[in-house]
Amino acid sequence: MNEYIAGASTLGYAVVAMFFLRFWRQTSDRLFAIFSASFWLLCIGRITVHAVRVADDHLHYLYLFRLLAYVLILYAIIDKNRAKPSARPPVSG
Amino acid sequence: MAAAVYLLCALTSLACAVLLLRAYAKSRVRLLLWSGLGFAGFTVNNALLFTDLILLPTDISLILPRNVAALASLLLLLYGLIWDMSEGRRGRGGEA
Amino acid sequence: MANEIPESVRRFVSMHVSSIELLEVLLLLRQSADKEWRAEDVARVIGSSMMSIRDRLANLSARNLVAAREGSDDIWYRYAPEEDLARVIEEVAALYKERRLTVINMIYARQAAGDIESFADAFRIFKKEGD
Repeated sequence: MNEYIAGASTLGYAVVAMFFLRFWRQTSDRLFAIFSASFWLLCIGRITVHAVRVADDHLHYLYLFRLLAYVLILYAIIDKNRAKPSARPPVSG
Repeated sequence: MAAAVYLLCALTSLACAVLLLRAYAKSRVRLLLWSGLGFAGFTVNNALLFTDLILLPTDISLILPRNVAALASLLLLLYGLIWDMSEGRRGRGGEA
Repeated sequence: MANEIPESVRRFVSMHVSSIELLEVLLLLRQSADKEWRAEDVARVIGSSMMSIRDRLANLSARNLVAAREGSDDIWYRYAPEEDLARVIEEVAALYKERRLTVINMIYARQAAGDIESFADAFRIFKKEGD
């Protein structure tokens, strides 16, 4: 059962990554490129966990994929808020 | 170190969920609702990961709930992406 | 490309019409301008879900295209755009009748682009004022 769920998730990450790739092409907003990269990493991370066949993903280096993926998302958010050359002061809240 | 990694993942996905749902509350764009819920699910997934690998003893495994949370999140996200994308192509049936 | 779509109609669609359902709701209320509608009634006529119709009506009301009145048990909506907008909506209605596909395509084009943008915009933590 677990195998099926994990397999479906792996595919899911890839499909989501594809969507973001497409949004990036349509809008040329960097945020989507970074999100896409992040979901590809999550997908590859899942594949690697299966390929290495660890019983559970206790091997921390495998989590570097996840870490990197989330650091990318964090970067995308920061990038989004920094890249705005707006003269207006930000509204708090 | 590992604990920090999982925590960072959980907090990042939480931030995404909050931002998306906040934007949904304002704009009512349903894509944002589904993706916000998706990221909320990723937050659960990451929190479970933290609980499982850091807090709980090794003989207890939360792998099934973790995987279920991940898949559920992806399905929510995909539902939003696909529904939203196809809404354009789906002719409105009611020719009222 | 699309021949002689009035600029006013284009602008109206790109500013206000986020979906075909929203347009249908607006035009339904327009047909019976004096009648007050609940989300439930609109959902029945349009053949759509309550949840989505509620959103549409709230959206239209926020745009001042319909007026909302809080009743004891429900919210009642009535067609109430300002005069110059009402004139544009007449044009939209006529066009939607004669060249349905043209209007639908306009909405789709705007819709997909708008939703994707709003996803990216969600990650702006400090929103610009007036957004």
